[in-house]
Amino acid sequence: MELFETNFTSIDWVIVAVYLGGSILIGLWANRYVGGLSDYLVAGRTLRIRLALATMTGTELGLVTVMYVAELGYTKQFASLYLAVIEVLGLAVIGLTGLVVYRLRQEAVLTVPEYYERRYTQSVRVTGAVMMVLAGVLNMGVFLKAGSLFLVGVTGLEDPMALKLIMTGLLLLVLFYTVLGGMVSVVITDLVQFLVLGVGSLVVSGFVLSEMGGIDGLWELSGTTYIDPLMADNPVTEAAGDGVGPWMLTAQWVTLSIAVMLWPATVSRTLAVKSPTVARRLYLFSTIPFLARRTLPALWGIGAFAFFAFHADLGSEFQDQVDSKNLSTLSAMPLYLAKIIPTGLLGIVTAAMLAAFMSTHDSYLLCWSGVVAQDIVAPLCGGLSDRQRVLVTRVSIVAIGGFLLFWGLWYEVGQELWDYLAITGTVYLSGALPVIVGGLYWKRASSTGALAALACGLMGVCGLSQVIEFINDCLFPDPAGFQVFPAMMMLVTMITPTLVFIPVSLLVPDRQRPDGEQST
Amino acid sequence: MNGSFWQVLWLVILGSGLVGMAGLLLSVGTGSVRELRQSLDELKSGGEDGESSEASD
Repeated sequence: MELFETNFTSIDWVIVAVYLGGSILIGLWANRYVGGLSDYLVAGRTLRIRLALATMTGTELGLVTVMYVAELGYTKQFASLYLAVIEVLGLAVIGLTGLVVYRLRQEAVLTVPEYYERRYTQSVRVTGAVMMVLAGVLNMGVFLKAGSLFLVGVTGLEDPMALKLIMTGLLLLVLFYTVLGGMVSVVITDLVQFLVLGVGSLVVSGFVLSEMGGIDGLWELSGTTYIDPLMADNPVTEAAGDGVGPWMLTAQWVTLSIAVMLWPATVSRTLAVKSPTVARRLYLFSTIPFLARRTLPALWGIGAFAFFAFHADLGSEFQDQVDSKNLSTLSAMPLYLAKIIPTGLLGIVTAAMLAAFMSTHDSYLLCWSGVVAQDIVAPLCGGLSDRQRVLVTRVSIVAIGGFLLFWGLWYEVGQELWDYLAITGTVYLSGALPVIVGGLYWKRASSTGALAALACGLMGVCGLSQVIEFINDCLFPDPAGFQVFPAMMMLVTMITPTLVFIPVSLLVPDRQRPDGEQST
Repeated sequence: MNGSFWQVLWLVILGSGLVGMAGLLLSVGTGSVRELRQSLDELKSGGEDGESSEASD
């Protein structure tokens, strides 16, 4: 057996092509339902709980999620599942209490920055929007790369030009139906993608489990791999600091708990549901798909680990490729699936994964573009008509798509994919946390405090491995002495904006109007 | 914490993920198609009139 051997044949390509063709038709058909801005951005706020849940799953169980969770499963085996526990607990708390999301939905805004203006000032809205788009687009910048690595692994397609053309085509397809049908189109395609993806992920899990020897095999494997996330060293690789450990666990706990509450693509679905109660229930019920998105791909990654350990020759060939940077650990799962899933079924699974790829892209593109139109261009231009806002949103979708293509094809991720996503997400989340939570629950939260907190969010980029390397080279050159490391930087950058927000709000309060209300 | 605790915990979590996804497909799948039809009908007839119709959920 060879490393790039695959069961993917022309039959599978046909299955994938038919699925993609269907997506184009949906985009064309959905356009007829788009009347105004509210229809375009939040589907007229008509979503009920099941539909919202299905589309939320479609969005949040993206291919990039599948890839990074599987990568963590491959590198950290069972210990990687700590993320599932953190995420599910966070969602359950929000779902039971309605923390933040209930009040946010009550505000009946179209976007988060719109709330900033209602609570603070227009400059907070524009600043918050810029930070959100910056973080979101940077975050999204690696999605294309993750998708292309999946396709390479599964199809065995090694020609880089063909691969780039396919990824460009996929992005154009998403742009096409998102530009045309907005949230209506996103909701319909997400529903289809949820169904395809749900069935596909269960089928894959069945094959992986059976290949590992069922529950008994899984139990046996768990006894010989990395299972305790409190240990900072991974016993499998035997490399110091190669595991999770208390620092990373805390940093991820803080980041993930805030992300499930405030991540814009998730919040946009909250704003699209029919009522605050549905928003709260959506979070409670979302514990199930979020648990699935953190566990099923992890199982595939663990399966890949066991497979490469069992086929030692393939395992060492793969490790050589990783060491020489021809491949990354992201490729382990798709290379593994290509060998264990039979022809025909592999096409359906690939279509399901491309569905995952598209369902995340469409929601994210719409979310960031909606923010550009609503919260940056419209306020700066002194207001736009609904028609102009839809036009600006559409142009922004295309512009962001162009950037993604450029960034996705040349940027090299310097750390595990999940760490990159968490760090870029911090740019937005760290500033948004005090501004939103403070705005909703603290009367003395001020506009100056909000601006300071949002600006501090920029510190989040310090968590990127290249920046940490630079900081250590400049300030802490002795490798045996103190060194800055990603988890520490994530925690510092996540907490700093809140620590700035509170004193600045107290020191520089908003002016009081004669009626006792704060000026906004 | 000993190894058996983690082994049991992770296997329960993995099992819950599998069962959860299967249950989600069964319970949400068909209902969501019906709700999509309702949403599209509402959009066709003018959109944001559903704020107070939570009882229908």
